[in-house]
Amino acid sequence: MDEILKCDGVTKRFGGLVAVDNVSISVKKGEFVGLIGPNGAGKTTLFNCISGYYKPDKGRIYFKGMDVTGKPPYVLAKLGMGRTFQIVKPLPRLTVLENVIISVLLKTEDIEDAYKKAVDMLDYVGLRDKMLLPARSLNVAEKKRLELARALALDPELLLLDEVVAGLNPTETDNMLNLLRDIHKKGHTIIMVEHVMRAVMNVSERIIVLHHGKVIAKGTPSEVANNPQVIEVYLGKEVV
Amino acid sequence: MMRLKSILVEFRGTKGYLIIGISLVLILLPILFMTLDLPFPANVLFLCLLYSIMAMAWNLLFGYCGQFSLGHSIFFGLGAYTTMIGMLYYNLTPWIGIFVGGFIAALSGLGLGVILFRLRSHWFALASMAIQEMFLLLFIPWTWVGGSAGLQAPIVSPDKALYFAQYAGPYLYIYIALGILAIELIIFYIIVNSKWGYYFQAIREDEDAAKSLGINPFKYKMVAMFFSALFTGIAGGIYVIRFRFIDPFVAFNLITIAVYILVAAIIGGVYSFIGPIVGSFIFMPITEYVRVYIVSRFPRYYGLQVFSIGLVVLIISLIAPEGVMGLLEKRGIVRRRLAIPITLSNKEVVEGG
Repeated sequence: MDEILKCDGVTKRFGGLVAVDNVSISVKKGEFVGLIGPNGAGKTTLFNCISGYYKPDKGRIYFKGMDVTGKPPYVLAKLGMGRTFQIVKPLPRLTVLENVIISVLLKTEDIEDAYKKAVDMLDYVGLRDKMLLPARSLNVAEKKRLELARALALDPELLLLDEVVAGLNPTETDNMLNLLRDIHKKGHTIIMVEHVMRAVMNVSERIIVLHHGKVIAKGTPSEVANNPQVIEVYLGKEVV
Repeated sequence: MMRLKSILVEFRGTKGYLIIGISLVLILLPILFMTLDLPFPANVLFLCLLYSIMAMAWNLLFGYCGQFSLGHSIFFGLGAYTTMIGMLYYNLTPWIGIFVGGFIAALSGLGLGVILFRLRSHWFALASMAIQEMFLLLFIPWTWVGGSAGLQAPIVSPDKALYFAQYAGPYLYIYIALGILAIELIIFYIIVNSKWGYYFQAIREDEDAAKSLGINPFKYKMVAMFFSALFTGIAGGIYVIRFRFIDPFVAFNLITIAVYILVAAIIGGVYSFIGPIVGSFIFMPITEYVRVYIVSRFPRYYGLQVFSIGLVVLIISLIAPEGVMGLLEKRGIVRRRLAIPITLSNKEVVEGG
């Protein structure tokens, strides 16, 4: 059983709007999956269902073979699911180091041990020299790195990344993508929601396309890029 | 043991000497007041310490956990009534009674937490205030606890004075408050520097982010509530020991308990460990001296002590929005404790040890 995540007919409604409509996807251990789709396609809503922030109206979610539908986020974090937020959520008044220490404390009680692991993690994402600054003083790119460091410091088996390169300049984007490739190489399973097509196509092994809450295409980046329906969704229907 | 050792290391040097110095002053002051026969300053010192205990307790919930309670009189009142009823009806010594009272307050804190922690921010504050008013209305007609007239503990014969903690003058009560404050400081210091303390702060900063880091906000708010209510309840017990009197209006008073302690904490600085103590030592002397030296001599200035505190709050909010300790930190006079293992020096951290 190497299936780490399975969504079975997941549906989430907000009033009359069906944000996620009967989505069934499956992710294997060790995969790097890109989840794309135009604005309002339901990507973040699906993420919030998977990570426990929303309870789906219908359907089941299985994590490592366990039914985790409706389980709260902190239980899922303990089970090995780490996530970042589209709108970054640093703990603003705490230092960068403290932000990461809190993450590491999930798996250790020892503050000294947590400190060492947090410093290593900050070294890894390139924030070591900023570690004693309050998190609120970081710029956007650094805050995204902090989000990543924090999620990664949980030592998760599955990492859900919600638009980690949005708002970054090309150099920052490349740095981030290299980092993601390296994280993937270390054995973490990654699902990445992204708007920046270049970024997703570049790093993902497999792409899932959502549109109006429904899965409209799945496949390798090149398959998806040549799928007429996907092209239509992104570029619009050809007139004539 | 290792943990204790690493905590003690931090108090080498200036910080340690400062703590020893202040402790010595606080231990010697009551003796000085007693020798010079100065009951009024002694009473002010007692109130400073009593409010320090409560402001510290309130701030564990707000400054660390982000939960703004307007209902802490509930715990003060329950601790006070438990101690009093223990003495009057069950012949229980208040030396034990205050801890029983604290424990009952802590348990009701957990009970209230189950309801209140479903609410966020201003709704939490309002609901805690509403429940406090319910306690007031519940105690006023309740004859077993003395109703609106309250309960008064009689003065006992000298052979029972120690058992019922009765002393002449306000002097020796200062040591009770000082002892409890010391215990509270040690317990809270260990808590806020442990995993719990970090988790509290994560909840304060961003509850959704905290959840993604494996933190169950409800569980840790309950932990903070337990210790917060415990020491507020014990403070209520100390009040009863000192004044031998309690009624519902003193016990469940929104202004003189719930609001005073949060104002003291905010003046001192809620993001500082000792801020609430600093605030209490600013707040209490101002209200008490204004009340006794101005208001009681010039009755037409009735309520001037509240006005003067309003003025202090106004000034502090303008020049030091994070309280006195926050201002001192900004000016670099005191330094915020960094989240680093205490056994490593700051130098090692900054230079990469």
